[in-house]
Amino acid sequence: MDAGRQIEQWFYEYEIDILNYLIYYTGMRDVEDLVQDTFLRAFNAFHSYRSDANPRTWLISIARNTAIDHFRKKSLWEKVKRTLIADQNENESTLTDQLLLMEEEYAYLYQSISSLKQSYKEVVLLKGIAELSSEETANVLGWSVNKVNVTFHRAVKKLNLIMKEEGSNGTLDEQRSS
Amino acid sequence: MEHLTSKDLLKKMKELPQFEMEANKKHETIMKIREARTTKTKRKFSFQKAGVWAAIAAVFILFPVVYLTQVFPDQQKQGSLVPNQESQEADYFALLDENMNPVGSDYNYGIPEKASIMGPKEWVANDERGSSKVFIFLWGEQDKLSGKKLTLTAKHKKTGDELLLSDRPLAGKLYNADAHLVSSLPVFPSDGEWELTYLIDEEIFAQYPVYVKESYLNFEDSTLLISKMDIFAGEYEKLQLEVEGADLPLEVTLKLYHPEEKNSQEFTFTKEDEFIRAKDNKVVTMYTGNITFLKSGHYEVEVLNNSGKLEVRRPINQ
Repeated sequence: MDAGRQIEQWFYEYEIDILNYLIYYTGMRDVEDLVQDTFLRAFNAFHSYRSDANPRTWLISIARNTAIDHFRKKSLWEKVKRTLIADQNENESTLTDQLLLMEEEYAYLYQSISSLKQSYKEVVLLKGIAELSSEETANVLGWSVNKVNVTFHRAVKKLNLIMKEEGSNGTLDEQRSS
Repeated sequence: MEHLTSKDLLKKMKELPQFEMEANKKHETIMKIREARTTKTKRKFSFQKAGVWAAIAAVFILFPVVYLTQVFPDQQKQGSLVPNQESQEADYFALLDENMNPVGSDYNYGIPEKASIMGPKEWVANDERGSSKVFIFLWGEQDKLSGKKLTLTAKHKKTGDELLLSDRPLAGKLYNADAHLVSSLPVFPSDGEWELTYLIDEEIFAQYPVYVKESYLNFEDSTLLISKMDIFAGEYEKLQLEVEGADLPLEVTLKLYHPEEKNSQEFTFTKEDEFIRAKDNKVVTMYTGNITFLKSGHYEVEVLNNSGKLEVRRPINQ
C-alpha cells in the first residue's frame, strides 16, 4: 500500500484517538489543525515507519511533537504551559471550562492533572488518554520502561495530594467565582 | 474525591468525555492527504532525466511513425468506441457518507474527485461475480452530470478488443459523489490492462486503466476462487470453492496430486452457503478451506468427482 493510501486509512482508524490526545495535551478544544498537521507529517515521514511498529503509537508520538513544535514556533509554549496550569483567562473557552459544563468531576480531575509538573503530566496523559502501555509510553518519550513506571507512580501520588488540597479549598465553581 | 490508585486513575480518565472532529475539517484533512500524495508523486519528476528519456523516446517513436506514414500513407485509422485521450492514474479510495465516515476504501477504484467504480476488490477475467452489481460515481457540476447519458467503455490495451460497459443516464448525488449509476457490467473476456473511458454526452469525462487478472481456476462444475496468476507455492487460508449442485455434503475433500513427485495431498473444505447463480439459475454450493501448495509445478485437482489441472507458478514467471 502506498504512503498516501495507508495514511488515509490510518486517519479513518485513529483520527478520534489523535484528536482527543491533542485536546487533553494542549488543554484546547480547537486542535483540528494540529490533527491535520499530524497526518501530513506522518505522510512525509512514512519512509521512517517500521512495519512492525504500532501505527497508533507512532501517530501519537508525531501528534505530541507536532503540538510541541507548533507552540514553540509561535512562542506560545509558555502560554500553553500556563494554560495547563489552569491559570486561565476568563474570556478564553478552554477545555476545563468545557468539561465544567459537562460534569464538575471531569473538570476537577483534568485541572488536577494539568497542574502536575510536565514529566508527570506527559506520562499520565499518554497512559490515561492515549491508553498506551508502559512500553509504548517509553517509546513515545524515549525513556526506559522503568522510568515510565516510576514517574507514573509518583504522578499518581502527587495527583492525590493536589486533589486533597484542592478538595479542602472548595469546588471549582467556588474557586472560579471567588 | 477519594484516594485514587493507579488503576482508579486510568479508569477515571477513560470516563473523560471524548470529542469528535467536525465533518468539514475531517473532509478537508482527507483532501489534504490526497493532495500531498499527488504533489509527492509529481515531485519525483526530474526535468533533466525527462529530457534524456524524451530524446531517446523521440528516436524510437518518430522513426516508426515516419516509416509507417511513408510506407502506408493511405491507411486510415479505423473507427473506435474509445477515443484517445490522456489516461490518468487511478487508485483505491474511500467515499464519504453523510457523517463523513469512509465507505469502500478497498473496492472503490478510480480517480478521486472525478470518477470511480465501486465493484469487486479485484477484477478477474470471465468472472460475473464482481460485476453483477457495481456503483459508478462521478464528481463535477451536478447539472452537467445528473440525467446525462454516461457511456462507459473499455479497451484492451494490447489486443484492442472493445467492450461497452454501460450506456445509461446518470442519477443524482450519492455519498460525496455528485452523480451515480447502479449497473451490472459485462464480464471482461480476457486478462490484462483495460482502459476505461467515461463519455458524458459523447465527450470524454475521465479515462484510466484497470487491471483484469487471469480467470479463476475452473475444473468441470467447480471453481476455486483464486486467479490462476495468483497461485504460487505456499499456504492459502479461507479459499472459496464453488461447486454446482444442491444438497451437497457439509464437508468435501479437495485432492491435489503432483504426478512428477507422485505426491498426494488432501484438504477439507466446509460448506458455507448455497445459492442460485444469476447467470444460469443453477444452484451452487459455496465452501471454504485452506490449501498448501508445496512447490511449483503442474498438479491434478479433484473435488466431488470434478477434476482438472492446475499450475502452481513461480513468481518469476509473472
